[in-house]
Amino acid sequence: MHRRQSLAGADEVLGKSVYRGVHANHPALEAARDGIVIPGHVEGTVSAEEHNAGGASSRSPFTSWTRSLQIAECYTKRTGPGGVVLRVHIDAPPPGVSWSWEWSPDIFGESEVLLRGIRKGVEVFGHADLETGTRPSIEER
Amino acid sequence: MLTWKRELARRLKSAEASESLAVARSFLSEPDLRLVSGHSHKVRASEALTLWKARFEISAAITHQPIDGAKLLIEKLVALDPDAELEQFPLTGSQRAGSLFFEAVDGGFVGAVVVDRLEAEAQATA
Repeated sequence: MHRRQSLAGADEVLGKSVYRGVHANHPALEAARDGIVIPGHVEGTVSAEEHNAGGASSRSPFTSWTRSLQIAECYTKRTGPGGVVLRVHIDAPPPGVSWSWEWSPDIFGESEVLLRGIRKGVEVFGHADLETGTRPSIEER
Repeated sequence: MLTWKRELARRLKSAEASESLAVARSFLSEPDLRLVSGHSHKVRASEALTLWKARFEISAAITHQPIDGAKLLIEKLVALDPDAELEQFPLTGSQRAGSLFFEAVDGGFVGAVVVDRLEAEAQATA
C-alpha cells in the first residue's frame, strides 16, 4: 500500500522533540552545525516510502528525524567522531515557510518522521565528540 | 509475472547458493510484493555500508526489530570497492518489506535486507 500523507498521529507528537543525527562525513554537516537542515535534493521527487527504504537521500526532498535521541546518536556516530545531533519540536509549519512534516512508513521501527524542505534555526543539541569543545557532548547529557 | 519480478528472479537464479540468497528468494516469493516507486535506484557501496551498518546496530541494540540479511549484506559490502555502484530494488508487501542489492556493473547479487512489517507494527503499538 502506498501512502503519502501528513504526519500520522500528529496530535500525539505535536510539541514533542524529534532528533536528527548528522554524521561526520555528511555533505550537509557544515550547514547542520549552523542549525540549517538541507535535504539531498530540495526539488527531488523521491517519495517518503522510497526515502525510508534507504539509498535515495541524495535525490530526496526529505531529511530523516526520529523521536528517539538514542537512535539519532547512533546515526551521528556512524562514520566516527565529528557529527552533530539536531533537535526541533514538532509544530505545524507557520504560514509562508517552505518546510513541512510528512508521514514515514518507518518499516525499520526507528520512530522516523520526515521533514520536507530546508529548515533554518534548528537547535544543535549535541555532538559526538569533544573536539570543538564549544558544545556539550552527547555523552555529557 | 511482472517484468521487474522476472528480472530479479533471473538474477537470483545465477547467484551462488548462500544464506543471503535464501533470504532474497524467500522475500521475493511474497505474493503481493511491489517495487517501491516503480523503479530501482543506484547507490555507492560505501554509502550503503554506512547506512546498513547503522541500521543493523540500531536494530540489535535499540529497536530489537530484526533485519534479516543485514549482517550478511554488511559483510559483503565491506569486501567491495567503496566506489562500486550498486542497484537497489526497494520492495514492499503487506507482510514484509526490504531491499535487494546487485552490482550495477554485472548484475551480480550482493545481498538482501528484509523486515517483518507485522512484527514491526506490533512492536510500535506495544
